[in-house]
Amino acid sequence: MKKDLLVVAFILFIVGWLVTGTKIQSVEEYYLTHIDEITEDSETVTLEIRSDTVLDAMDKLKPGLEKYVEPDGEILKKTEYVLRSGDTAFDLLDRATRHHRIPVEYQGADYNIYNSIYVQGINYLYEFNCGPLSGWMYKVNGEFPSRGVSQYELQDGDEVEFHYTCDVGRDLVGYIRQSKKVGN
Amino acid sequence: MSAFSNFHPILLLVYVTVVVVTMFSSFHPIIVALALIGGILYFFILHGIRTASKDVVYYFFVFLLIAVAYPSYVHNGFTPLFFLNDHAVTLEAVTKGLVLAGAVVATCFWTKSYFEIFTTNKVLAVLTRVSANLGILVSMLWRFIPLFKTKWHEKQMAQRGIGYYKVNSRVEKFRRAFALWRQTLVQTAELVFVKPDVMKARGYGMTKARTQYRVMRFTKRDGILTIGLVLFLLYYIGYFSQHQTQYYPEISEQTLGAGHYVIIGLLMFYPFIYEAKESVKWRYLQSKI
Repeated sequence: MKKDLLVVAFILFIVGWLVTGTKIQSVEEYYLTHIDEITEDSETVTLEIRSDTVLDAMDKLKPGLEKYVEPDGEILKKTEYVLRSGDTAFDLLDRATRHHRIPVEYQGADYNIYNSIYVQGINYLYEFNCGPLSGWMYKVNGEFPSRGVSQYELQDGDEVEFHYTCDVGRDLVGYIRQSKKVGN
Repeated sequence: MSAFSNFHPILLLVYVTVVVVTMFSSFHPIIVALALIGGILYFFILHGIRTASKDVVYYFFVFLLIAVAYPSYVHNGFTPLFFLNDHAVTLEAVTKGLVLAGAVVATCFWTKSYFEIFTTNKVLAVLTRVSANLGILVSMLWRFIPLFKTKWHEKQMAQRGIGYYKVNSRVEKFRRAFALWRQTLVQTAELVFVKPDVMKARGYGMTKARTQYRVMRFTKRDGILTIGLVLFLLYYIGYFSQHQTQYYPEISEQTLGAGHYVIIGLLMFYPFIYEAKESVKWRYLQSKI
């Protein structure tokens, strides 16, 4: 009986998995992204991805990851991208990282209570890899928004920065101590 | 009956612990594979090919479920194979999924085989060695549960037969069932716990020097093997706590020499080898006259 139930559960899992719309792409296909050319009248935003804090807290870093930490803390240097209408901070991150082939892992908006995408790891550097208080945070125009990364709609000229923190943001410049919410 | 189960129960306990702990502390693909194959081979010896293959087919599906589910949830890793719904399915995650599934299935087989050979009388033998009183207490408890079940069934059937439950009120029905339950409990407890007291009151077992007969002896062979296993465990735990296989972002390089695999393989296959050796010996010793 127990075995039959497990077999049924297995088949249901496979069927459900196939039915809920699986999209299989090859590596080339996935990274093939179109980055719009910057023209004079196009609205632009900038993106920067940094992991400086890890360099100061190498002793807390999970062993074996030292090789994958950028020596200057720069994963993506400040680059200008064209803003498409309705772009959120996550759309920008997704587009830019695909273009530069930087691996990003995230939790979909349906899988958490905040209804927002949660960025778990960028460039092999994951949440909790540098102590229990570590993870990715984002900054727009020098401030940490208290909204999810896929809820923040960007404006023309916004400067988006993604920072890795080893101490829930307290080791980052511009982090406001009073606000309890951690961005992204 | 298995020849391996003739070893002392403490040795058997240590052995299974060593196998499972080595496997999980290393999380090394080859070691997990060795443990899995060793576990399945011994399971075959214990149950025969026919019964065991049914279980193997079932556990194959469990293996498949874990191996497929794992890389579809974890996307870390250096080498993406393809992208599933915008998430990378990586070589590292697939490997780790296979190793994890193997480890889980191997643990299932080892524990199944273990409980097959580690029977109630062995548990009691071990406990009696610790303390005779504890052994008696556990055996009393062990007797209590099945006895209570049988008594409860008996009484239920008898009372139902004479119309004990033929009342309209549900509350009353429940009250009667509870009363019956209480009576059964008291009666069973009396059978199990009061009888020894009565025996004691008659002066049974009151002398201080009470001897006990031990069926299972901890022989020299058991002692040597246990010490060997403990040393093995200490050495490899020390090694693997430093060199546990890392899967993310790249599978860590393995520095373990081939000799170590042979030693670990011997450990994992030991019950199978011993069992095979004994059955060959048995055939050889049979008279041909």
